[in-house]
Amino acid sequence: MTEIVRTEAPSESVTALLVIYILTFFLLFFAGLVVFGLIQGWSPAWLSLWMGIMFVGLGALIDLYRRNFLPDEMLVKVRLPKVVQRRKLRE
Amino acid sequence: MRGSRYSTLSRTAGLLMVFFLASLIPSVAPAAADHTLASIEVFLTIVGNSTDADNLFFDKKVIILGPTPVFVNVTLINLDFTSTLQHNFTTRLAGVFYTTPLVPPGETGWVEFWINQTGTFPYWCAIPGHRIAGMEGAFVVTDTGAISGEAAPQGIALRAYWIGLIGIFAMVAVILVSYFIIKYESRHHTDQREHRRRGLP
Repeated sequence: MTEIVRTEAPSESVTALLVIYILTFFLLFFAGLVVFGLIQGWSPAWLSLWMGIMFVGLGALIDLYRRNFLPDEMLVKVRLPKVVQRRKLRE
Repeated sequence: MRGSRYSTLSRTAGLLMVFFLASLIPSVAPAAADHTLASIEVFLTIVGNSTDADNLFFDKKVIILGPTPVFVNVTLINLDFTSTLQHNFTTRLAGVFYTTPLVPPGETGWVEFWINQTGTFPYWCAIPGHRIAGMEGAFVVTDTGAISGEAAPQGIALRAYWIGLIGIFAMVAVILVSYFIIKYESRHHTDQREHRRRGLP
């Protein structure tokens, strides 16, 4: 029912891979900070800040992956012709 | 016309920036962590009666610390609710004065410093007349001396707040720099400078 109209191979940029690695390091760092803070009993304001910035980094990482390592495809959904039943009108 | 020179320059500079920022964070974290091994936070509380100015005092007269170097965080809590007198904590180490802000009743103020040598270091309240009235004490720092019972080891020793804040800025910088690197090295990017220079539509 669907058809790939246009597809383009991902660039698989080395820079993007490098940045993904760096962002992974940051994510692990902030995740570790959250866990360490939970153990140490830090205030929830700081913990929520670390957790929030962790999700920001995760969003950037996923976006980098999507743009550079997934193919750029255009999918078109082929629709069936509409079937109209015959019926009598105002007789 | 593709501007290859501009692209290479920006790519090289950007990569260098990314490597610099990436190497920045691990160098900050262990440096801050090392100091916490010998650190202790000392809490001082002020209790005083200001009506006759005779009963001003710190609640800790002698604080035994050691071995050096020791990191001291003095948090001054002014419990002098019988008046509106402000107090502070002042000490002098190696010719440098360390002092908290003036603390009104019910408020707290803090100061941090390193003690790198043994000896006896007095501390006092710098408001005129308060030291004479009795607001003074001393750090006794020895190489064998353990942390005295008066010093309450509480609070967060590791200054992870600052490490985390630096991490946030570094991560945002990495994202921004990498955005431009990836943009300029993309095969979809065309350099329009020559086009604009000729004034073409």
